[in-house]
Formats: sequence, structure tokens, C-alpha cells
Amino acid sequence: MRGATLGVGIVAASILLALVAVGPAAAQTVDPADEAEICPGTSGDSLVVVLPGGTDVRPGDDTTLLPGTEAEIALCSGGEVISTTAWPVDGEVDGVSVGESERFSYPVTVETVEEPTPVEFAPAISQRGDVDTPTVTATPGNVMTVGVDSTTYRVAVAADDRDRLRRANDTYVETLDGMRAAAADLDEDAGRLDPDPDVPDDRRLPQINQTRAVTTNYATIQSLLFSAATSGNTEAVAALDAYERRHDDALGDTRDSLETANRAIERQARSTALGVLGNLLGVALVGAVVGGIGGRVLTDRILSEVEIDRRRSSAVDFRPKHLAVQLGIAAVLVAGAAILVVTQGLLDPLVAVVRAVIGV
Amino acid sequence: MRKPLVGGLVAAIAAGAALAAVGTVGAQGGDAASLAALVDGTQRQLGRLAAVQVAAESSNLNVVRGVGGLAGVGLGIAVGSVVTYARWGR
Repeated sequence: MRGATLGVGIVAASILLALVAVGPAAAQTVDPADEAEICPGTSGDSLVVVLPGGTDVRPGDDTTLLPGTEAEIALCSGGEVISTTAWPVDGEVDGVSVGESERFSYPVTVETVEEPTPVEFAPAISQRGDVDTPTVTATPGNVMTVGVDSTTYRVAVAADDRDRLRRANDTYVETLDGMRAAAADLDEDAGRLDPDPDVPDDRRLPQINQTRAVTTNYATIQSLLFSAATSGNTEAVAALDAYERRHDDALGDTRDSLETANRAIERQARSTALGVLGNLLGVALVGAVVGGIGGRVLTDRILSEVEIDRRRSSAVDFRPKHLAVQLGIAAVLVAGAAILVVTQGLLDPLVAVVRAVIGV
Repeated sequence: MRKPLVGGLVAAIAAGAALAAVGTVGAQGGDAASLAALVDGTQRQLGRLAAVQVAAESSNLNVVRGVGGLAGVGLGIAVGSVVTYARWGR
């Protein structure tokens, strides 16, 4: 049930993200047609802060904004949006910079502040007298420029998280690019590799074996960008989308390179193993023929003597003990071969040879 | 002109992005896990290749031939003796 809900959410989010890419959020200028949305619940002269994402902050509301946040202010009078000519902003407003007036609104950008700063709009609109305003606070933070591929995004991140995002991004980019490049190199060299036998298997590909670091840092980046996105920072949404594309592309490239390299390495190991096995079995076959002839000659000689004794006495007959010498010699030779394998450190290599040939 | 639905739509974007994130976190976890498994598999293949190449070194290859020779002669003697014994017994 939860999975189905999540699935619907993902589909909906994909559609919404696609809409973001088209850019509906950019059309933001207030006009009188919006007054039914902006002005409800206001009375007299009420200043409304229109945030990116369509959130309206009215008198009685309380909001905290990060530096770099771009918004608009509009004035509702008697429930209608009124022209900016009727309410010139003629003073400074702590915590924000006010841009050139539009017909029915002023663009404002939250400035960098050292400490939480109340943003008082009313004193700057002296011509209107008594204006109700929402409680707005500019809080310390920063707008970071996050570069994903060739595009940059301005993302509002609280000061406490700024270094965290920067570190996570630096490590993420370094490890992800390192993984992709190392996998591509491995793919290029596969089939001509001469790996060091003394390196433990789990440390053979340190540049590529970094999925945990990539995942951890990507999760940190996503978490911080989600926070910015839910605060109305539309560029954070676009940055999330770009990060996801880059992440998927990089992991996909890495996977493709590894799969190709894997097949080439497997072929190389099998080919080499077949050569080793050919040497082992070829000499063993010759040895078996020689040994077989020797065993036959030796056994014939022993049993011929038994046959002579058998003719003299009925108590004498062919017994398995007449094979003791031959089988003893055979056991000593096979044991010698086993000892040679172990003492020369060839047990693991020969096991690897067999496994490479049968593909287990 | 700001459409009445634009505000709601854009507000939904953040929620949608968060929902998408929950989904993609799960998906990326799976992707990363499968990639990690692929990396481990490649490392094992490299380890096997290294071991096979040890056996294929010329000095070791002579030992491998010696092992084959000893084992072959030993098995040949055993088989030849038993077969000959069986023939004498009939």
C-alpha cells in the first residue's frame, strides 16, 4: 500500500519536475488578476510577501527567509491589489534590497545578514500611513552556486549547512568522476591486465570501489537541496533534477565499463588457465602412459614368480598383496605431486585455473 | 499574469520533489548496491586472473609440468598394475 502511494508520488513528482524544466515558476509578476489569491483575509492596507513557489505571506503570518531568496511585495487595500504608484517604497528596508517597481509589486531580495534581522516594510511605505505587514525575519545563511555539469544553480542554504554541502559536493564529484574514469580505464586495459597477486581482492579497485562514499555524499546533497526546495527555492529543485541525471549517467557509465571489463578479464583468465591446464594434463597423460607400461611390466614380473610357486604348491595363489609394491610406488608419486603443489604455493593458483576453465 | 493554479502547482513541486526524492533514494540505493556487487565481482575476477597468471609463470609452469608428470606416472602405475593383476587372475 505504502509502495503504491510512493509510486504514485514518484510519477507525480516526475511530471512536476518536467514542468519545472519548462519554467512556469519563472512567471511571477503580480497583477490584479491575482488579488483573489493574494488578498483574502486582509483588511485595510496589508502588505503581502509573495514567495517563489506561490506562497503568500500575509499580515499575521510569520516567515524566516534565507539570504538570496527572491520574492515580491504587493499591497492589498480593501481586498484589491493596488498599483505601486500609490505606495512608493521610499526608504531602506533592513534585511532586504528592494528593486525597481513593477506595476503592482516590488521585487525584493533578501540580503546577507550576520544575525536574525526583522524585516520592517511599513516604515519604508510612509505615504500610506498605517500598513499591516507580516512578520518577516532575514536569517544568516548564504546562497551557494552549485555547478552540475555545465549549468550553475543558486541554492539558498543556511550558514550552518554551507560547508557541509560544499564538502559533500566536492567529495561526491571527486569520487563519482574517479569511479567513472577508473572504470573506463579498466575497460580499456581489460584483456591485457597483469594484476598484482599480493593485493587482497577487496582492494584491487580502490578508485571504483567507492559506492558507499558516493551514496552517502549524494544523500547529504539531496537532503540539503530538499530543504532548500521545500523553502520555495525553485533552483534547488532544478539542481536536484540535474544531480539525479548526472548521478544516473555516471553510475550507468561505470556499470557499462565494469560489465565489459568483467567479460574481457574472464576471457583472459580462461585463456591463460587453458594453457596451464594443457601443460598439466599433457604431461600427466604422457606420464600415465609411461606409468601404465611400467606398472604392467612390474606386475607381470611379480605375478610370473607367483605363477611358478603356484605350480609347486596349491597354497600359493594370486593375492592383492602382490600389488602392494606397485600401489605403494604409485601412492608415493601422487603424494610427491601433492607435496610439490603445496610447497611451491601452487594450490590456490591451480584451484583458480580449474575454476577459470569451468567458469565457476 | 499569474495563473491561479500556478501557485499551487509550484508549491506542489517542492512536495513532489520531496516525494520523488524518497523514491529515488530507494532506487539509487538499489543502483549503488548492484554497482557495489559488480565491483566486488570484478575484483574477484581480477584476483582469479592474478592467481592464474602465477601458475602460468615460466618457473611455475615447469613445476606444474612436474606435478602432472609425477601424478600421471603414479596413476599410470596404479591402473596398469591393477589391470594386469586382473588379467592374471582370470
